This record gives sequence, C-alpha cells and structure tokens, in this order.
Amino acid sequence: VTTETGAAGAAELGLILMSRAAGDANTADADLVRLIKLSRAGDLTAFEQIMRLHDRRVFRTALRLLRRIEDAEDASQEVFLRVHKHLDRFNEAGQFSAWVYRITVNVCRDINRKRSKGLALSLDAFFADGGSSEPASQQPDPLDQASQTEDVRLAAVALRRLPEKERAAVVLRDIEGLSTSEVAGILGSSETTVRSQVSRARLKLKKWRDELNRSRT
Amino acid sequence: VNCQRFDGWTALWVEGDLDVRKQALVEEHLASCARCTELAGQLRASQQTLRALRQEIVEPGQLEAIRAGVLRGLSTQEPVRRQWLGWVFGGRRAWRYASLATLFALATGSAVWWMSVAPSPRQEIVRETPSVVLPLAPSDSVAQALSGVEGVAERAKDVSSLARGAQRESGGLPVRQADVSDSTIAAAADEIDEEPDTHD
Repeated sequence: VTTETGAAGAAELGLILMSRAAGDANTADADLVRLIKLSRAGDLTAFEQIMRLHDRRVFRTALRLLRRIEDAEDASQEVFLRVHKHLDRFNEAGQFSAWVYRITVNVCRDINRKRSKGLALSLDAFFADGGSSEPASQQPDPLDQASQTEDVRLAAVALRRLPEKERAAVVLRDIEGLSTSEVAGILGSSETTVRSQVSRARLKLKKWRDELNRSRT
Repeated sequence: VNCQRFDGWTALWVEGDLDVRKQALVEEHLASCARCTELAGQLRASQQTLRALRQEIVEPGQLEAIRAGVLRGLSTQEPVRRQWLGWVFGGRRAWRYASLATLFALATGSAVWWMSVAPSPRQEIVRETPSVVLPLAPSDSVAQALSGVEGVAERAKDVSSLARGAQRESGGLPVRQADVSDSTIAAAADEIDEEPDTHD
C-alpha cells in the first residue's frame, strides 16, 4: 500500500501511536482529530489507524444487522470507503464513532434492500426448482456456530427474526451499549420512537428465547 | 391493575431506560405483582445474553482482510476531481442532471440576452450608410423647401420668445410647455401672420 505520508506526518503519527499505547485517554479525541487531518491530506497509514479503532464495532454491527458474514465483510469495506470519501464533511466537534455507526446503518440498509430484491428472485428460483435449494438468507451464520455458549447462539438466532428497525435499535442500544439519545441520532428518529422499538424488541427476544429453550429441551 | 400495561415499561426498566416517574410506578407495581416480577427477571437474563453478543470473538484475519480491501480500493482510486467538476460529472445522477440543466439554462439565457442587447445587422448597415450630400447649388424645388423650413424655424423662435416673456411676467418661475395654452399659441401665431414678411 502506497502512502503519501511525509516525514512530519510520520513523526506525528508515531507520537499518536505512542500516546495510544500509553493509554492516555484524555488525548484520545485529540489524537483522533489529528488522524482525521492526516487522512484528509491523503495519509493512508493514518486512515488505517482509524480503521483499526473502529473496524470491530463496524463489523459486529453489520453482522447483526445483515445476518450473513460475507455481507458484513462487504458492508464493512463499503463503510470505510464512505468514511474516507466523506471525511471532509465530518464535523470534528461531533462524535466520530456515532458518525461511523450512522454510515454503517445506512450501508446495511442499502444492502438489505438490494438483498430483499435478490431474495425475491432466489425464492422464485427456489419454487421453480421444486424447493430443492435453500434460500441464501436462511443459511446459518458461521459466527453463530462458533459462539461461546448455546444461550448466545439462541440470542443471535432470535435477533435475526426481528424487523429491521427494531433490530437496528436493539443492536445499537443493547449490544453496542449506546445511549437512547445516541441511537436516536444515528437512526434519525426520536428518543420516544427508539424506546418504543427497544421495548418491543426486548419482549419479543425474551419470548423467542423461551420458545427456543423449550424446543431445545 | 392490568399487568400487560406494564410489560413495555418493565422491558425498559430492566435497563434503566425509564424516567423517574415511570420508574417509580413500575417499582411500586413490581412490589405487589409476582407475574411482573418474574417477567422482569426473565428480561434481565435475556438482556444479559444479548449483551454477551458484544463479546463475540471476531477473527483478527477477518478484520485484516477488510482493512486490506479498503486500502487496496483507496490506493487504486482515481484522483479526486475538482469539486465543481465532480458535481457536474461525478456526482449522483440527480445532481448531474440538475447541474447540466442549470448550465443549459444559463447558456440559453446568455444567448437570448446577447441577441436582445447587441445591434442587429440591419442597424449596423443603417449606421454605416453615408449621409445624403446636398447639392451645392440647390434647385428651385429644394430652395422652396428650405424656405418653408426656415419659416417653421422662425415661428418656433417666436413661440419660444413668447414663453420667455411669460416667464418674466410670472416672476422668474419656469413656464412649462403645458402652461402655454392653445389660445395663447394661436394668438401668437396670428400676430406672426400679421407681421410683414421681412425675409423677402
């Protein structure tokens, strides 16, 4: 990977990495702002550093919203490409991670829309084929199979059954641990709406979890 | 009390998502309702499992592959177009069409304006046509016409002097053309007609 980092930029990046390694939380935001400035100037090493700070969250969110590991990988790449493209628009005073989450939700929404069209086609093919092939979206998630406990796997399965908006609200609020106001900002809805979606989703998840537990025993 | 009314609030209460007033109502209800207390316990367990999804192990190789893919994409990207060119040629389809329509409208408007302001070829020809050169020795008809013109000029001069006289009478106030009534002009014309012709 080629970078356009100058000597001064490399030295600055080195200082940023050192302060991060030292665990200085107070300078974390300032470091991020510096990384953003370097990335805007074309420094791909700085942008890689930004990705390292956010890729786990982006991938995890995309996986829970899209349910398929390949889609989550594609979505994560698209998210970072969009982040890089629109870095100029980002308001440094705002929260960068919330902005990245918003892009993630939008990308996943786009992919879900495209996939729902594709799913309609694959269902047509499924019935034309006499029902011998399984629609792609019904294939098990490899990450779910590798989950640490059966309970977690059941929670992941139950999560898939939620409607898109409720799933997005509960993923951001309960799995990512964001506040209700942050979730409302990311989803572009009111806090009341988010609370209502989260409440319904929690009751459904509890109900489905009970059903899955009963069928297991 | 209808317990199902409290289900939604209880689902929010387990994670501290209720305001103080509703929180107090739920707690008061839970203190006296075994069914809702059980529901709250089940919701807490469900939420704990859900939170465990956050601790899921993501393969480092997967994240590396994602980062490498992004960096590959960025390093092979075309250089960023200049902002305004990007709007016209590289933006979203709607923006592109809007930009092109605006450019077209501007070009058409400019052309129409230029055509209305710039002199037409006919005007140019008239402007370049040389003025008529009168003969040095006028013929009889031309001389007659010229004397007629001189007569009109003399009358105009007399009307003008009449107006100046009226201005003097009015104490220096300017006299507009409208202030000189038709009858005054007619009287002046009659006076002029009665005067002996001194031109001959």
